[in-house]
This record gives sequence, structure tokens and C-alpha cells, in this order.
Amino acid sequence: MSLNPASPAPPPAPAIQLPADWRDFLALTKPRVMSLVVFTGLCGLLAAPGHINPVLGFTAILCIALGAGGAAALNQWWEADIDALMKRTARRPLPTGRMARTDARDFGIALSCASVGIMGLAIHWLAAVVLAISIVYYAVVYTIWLKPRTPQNIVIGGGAGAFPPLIGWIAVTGEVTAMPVLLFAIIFLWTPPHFWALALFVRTDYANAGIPMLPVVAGQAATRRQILLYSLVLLPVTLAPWAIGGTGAIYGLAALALSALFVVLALPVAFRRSGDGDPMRPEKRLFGYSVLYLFALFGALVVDRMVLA
Amino acid sequence: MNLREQDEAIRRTRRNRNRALGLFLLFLVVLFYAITFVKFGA
Repeated sequence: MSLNPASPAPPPAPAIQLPADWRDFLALTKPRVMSLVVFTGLCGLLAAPGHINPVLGFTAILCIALGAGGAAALNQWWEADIDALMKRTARRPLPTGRMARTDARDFGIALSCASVGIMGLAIHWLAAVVLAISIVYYAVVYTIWLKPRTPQNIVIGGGAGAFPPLIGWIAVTGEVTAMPVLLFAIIFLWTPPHFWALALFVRTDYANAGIPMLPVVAGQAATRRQILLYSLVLLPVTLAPWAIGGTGAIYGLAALALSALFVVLALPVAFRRSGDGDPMRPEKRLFGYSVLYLFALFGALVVDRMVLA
Repeated sequence: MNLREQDEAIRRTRRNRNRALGLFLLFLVVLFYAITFVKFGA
């Protein structure tokens, strides 16, 4: 990705405005982010003690996906102006003018309400309440309130992405115990280093859009220190499910290896300086690994549970 | 793109969108019956 600060001009609007296609509505739900949400939600559901009918389990995951999609649509509705200023987001349906803003808002509200309603009626009302909290947390607390105001936006907003395994767990057990709270904490602590690694190599985009991301406000050195700090805190927290006896050694050893590698990759990010035209390879490597890390960690949790079962 | 092609493109886009919405609603109806069957029996 180019870091030329002069380049992030939005693409010109097409001469002929076609009505929004179904692909535009799908893009509004941020499918790539949704895949991670669905995966962690599914892992929470599969790792929970107890049994859920496959149809109800599928419905619970569908509700988590619909809720995440609805929250993402509301996020894009609110941030359409900001998205138009950033190269990474300028081609989304709203900045390019392929869709009316009110359509995105209505689509987001409809998906959100449907997901909470179906979750409550078909699965469990506690899971529906937590799903509703996660949608409001992302769409209102993070997107509207915190993101444009504080460089700690990612830290607090990370809570929104941490809900899916908790919801999946509650869908099976109907209660909140220490294990799902730890799964929540893992994603909560994983989010800042994941996003700050990204923010380091797209910081000019964020600066141009006026979003107070940590590298823009506090500088690169402070961001690099924070990435290492969160990586170090993340390691023992990922081991906590094993320590309290919630998982077996398969998960424990996988968590130890994966989190140790996370710290190892965070070290060169923390102890380097970068200038203009820097390819930012350690940052990109950490960002790429952080996505793989979460998939592998939660995958290990499910494998461990199945072996124990 | 002339006026006729533009008109056709708009109609095609709307048709695709309506089909996608119809399929999604059909899927929800099937899911509703499946959930009802699982929770309350035949």
C-alpha cells in the first residue's frame, strides 16, 4: 500500500448512477470483518459446555452475523464522509454514491433489529440482550461517540468485536461464567495491537480524515510501545483459560506458542524508528500475523474442547 | 452508455436486487419452520 500523503483523493463518482446492487448491500456488512466475527462466535458456541441443536446453533451464528452486518452498515452510514477521504475506504458504496445514505441506515437498523429479535425468540433472551449491547456499543459508543474524539478509540471500541464468543457461549449455556469473559478479554486485548499495527502504515489516511488514531495523535514511538505492552499483557490472559481449568493442554500449549510469537513479532515493531518511504514490513507482518493468530487461537480452543469431549 | 442501455442496466440491477431479497426472505421462512420444528416438535 502506498503511503504517499498526496494520493488519497476519492475516485470520481460514476457518470451514470445505477441503483444499489445486492453486492453493495453485502459490502455494507463488511464481509471480511464478519468472517472473523462469525468464526469467534462459532468457536464460543462450540467450546461451551453443553449441547445445542444444530439448527439452533446455525441460527445463533446467523444472528451474530446479521447483527455484525447491521452494525457495520450503521458504521458506514455514519462515516460516509470520512470514508470518502481515505484511500482504503473510498470505494465503498456510500462514498462512491452508489447508494443513498438513508438506505444504508435503514438496512443497518433492519438487520440489527431482526438479528436481536430472532436471537431472543429462537435461542435465548440473554444472548439477544448481549447482542443488542454489542450492536449499540459498535454503532453508537464506538462509531459516533469515541472514534472521532479520543486516541483510545480502538481500546474501548475493541469491546464491540469481543462480544461474539460471549454471545455464542451464552446461546448454549444461557449464562455468563469466567470462561466466556476470558474469551471476551482475549479479543479485547488483541484489538489494540492489531489495529495500531495497521494504523502505523496507513496513518496518513487517518490523519487526512481527521481521525485521532494513536499514531496520529501520540506519535509512532508511543504507539510502538503500546503495541508491545498490549502483546505482553495478552500472553498471560490467553493462558488464563488453561490456568483456571477451562481448557486442556492442547489449547494451553497452542496459546503459549501463538502468543509468544505475537510478542516476538511485536518486538521489532516496538524497537525501530521509521521515516518517510519506509516499507513498514515489521508492522505489516505483525498485522497479518494478528489475524492468523486469532483464527489459530480460537481454532485451538475448539479442537481442545472436542478432544476433551 | 446510451439512454436505452442505461434503462436496461437500471432494470437489471433492480431485478437482481429483488431476486436477492426474495431468496433471503425465502431462506428466513424456511429457517422459521425449521426452528419451530426443533423447538416445538412436529
